[in-house]
Amino acid sequence: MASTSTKNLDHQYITGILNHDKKILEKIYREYLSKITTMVKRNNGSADEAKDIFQEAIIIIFRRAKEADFELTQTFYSYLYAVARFLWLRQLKKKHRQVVELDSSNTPEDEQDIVKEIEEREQKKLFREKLEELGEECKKVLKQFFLGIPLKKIAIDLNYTENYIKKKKFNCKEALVKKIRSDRRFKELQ
Amino acid sequence: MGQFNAVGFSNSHHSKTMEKENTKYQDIERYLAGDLQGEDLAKFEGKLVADRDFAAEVQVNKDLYRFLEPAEEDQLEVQLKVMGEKYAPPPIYSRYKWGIRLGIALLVILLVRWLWNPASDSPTTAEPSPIEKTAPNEPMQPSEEEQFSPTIEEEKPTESPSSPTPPPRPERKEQKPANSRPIAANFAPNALLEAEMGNLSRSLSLTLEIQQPHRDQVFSRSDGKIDFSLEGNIKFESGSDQTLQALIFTNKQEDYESYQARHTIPLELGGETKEFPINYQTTLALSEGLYYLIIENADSGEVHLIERFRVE
Repeated sequence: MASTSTKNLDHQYITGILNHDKKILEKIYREYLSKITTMVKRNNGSADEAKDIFQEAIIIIFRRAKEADFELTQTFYSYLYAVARFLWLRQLKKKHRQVVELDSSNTPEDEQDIVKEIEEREQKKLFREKLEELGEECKKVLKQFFLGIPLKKIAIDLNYTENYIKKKKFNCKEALVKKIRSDRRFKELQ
Repeated sequence: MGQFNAVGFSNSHHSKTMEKENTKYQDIERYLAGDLQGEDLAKFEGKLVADRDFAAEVQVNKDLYRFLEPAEEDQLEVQLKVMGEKYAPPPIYSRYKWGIRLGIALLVILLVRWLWNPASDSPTTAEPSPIEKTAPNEPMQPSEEEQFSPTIEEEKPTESPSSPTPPPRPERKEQKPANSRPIAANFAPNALLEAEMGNLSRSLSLTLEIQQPHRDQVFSRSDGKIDFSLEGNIKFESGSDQTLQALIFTNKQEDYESYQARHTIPLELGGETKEFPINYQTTLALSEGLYYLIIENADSGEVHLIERFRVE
């Protein structure tokens, strides 16, 4: 059973992640990156992949911790390890690489919620990746549009009329939606 | 008879299909904006229920806003990327560098001892080479228990109980370039403004040069304040009056999105003169962090320049 001081520290980690606290985040990296790296490398992964998994696990925890129903019922490290392991297993399956050591125990207790967050993140990455594949002008127009910049201002910035930019935005969105829907990964996430 | 394209459809058929597609997308836009009313809305919602493919298309359009608008986690992601570079394990040769150096030093000491006094302890009773000890960055054979419920009360990283104390390793600071700084939340770059950094002026009637603050200039705080100076030069065609303003934003996304500038400097220019030096000094109460200077047309909002400076 975790002592009170351990519990406090665990909650400090969660609060630190929620607040983007540099000291806490650095402490998490110092203490746990090497352990996650060991797990990933033992299961057909590289140090770079481990770094990405570690980062993604923290972001998943950030998203979960923002939910009203979130409750940390295990130590922070156990949770982090479980989420990272879960993420790596998904990667391995996608890349058809062999799982060497990981067993089916030690899944996060809120596994379904974690799956939901992971799928949302994967969708977000797909959407943003497809945006980058558009032509330069479409990219500029849509990026500024989704930043909340008014079409009138976008038109002035790009030296076009507002009507032209309205049409451009419309056509570029259409192209983006088509790109997203035709991607195999989008179908897998549905 | 109309003309036929390569796949055998007439051009008029093709343009009818395009028109139908355009109407569909226009309806989706109107629906998401809440502009569909009455019969049109009922028809649209009926189609959502009856046509799964159409419903999926509408959902993707909705998700565009969810996934492409800036989110709080974007800043966290940028912060973590920087930390990942900082804490990534060093290449293998440098990881064992100190172990090898210590091993060589120990061998030399043992050799000297043996040569000096060959009758004393044999080398085999000496301390094992540090190379055999746990590598600094990778704990050897962590126990099952440690994987799932390690103790984390201590400040230093957890080690396997069976491994001996690892050799001293160089401070990570020594591996950093001389002019790098730790990034705090206050210093995390605003990804949106970073993407647009620089001189953006497209106006043929205006040329803008800013010497101060230059990129990443550091202003030092004294009693919680800095001596800020804005220096540069604006050239434009005479007769084209413009009201420019310089705004200082923190690195927080929400400040820029809600247009909450920390400081605004109006720059009214006009008349017959073609060239204006800018020489503005003021004292600002700014906390430590990363800031962005934006120069824009006060009326149209056209952004001419985005620069970045630090307060430490």
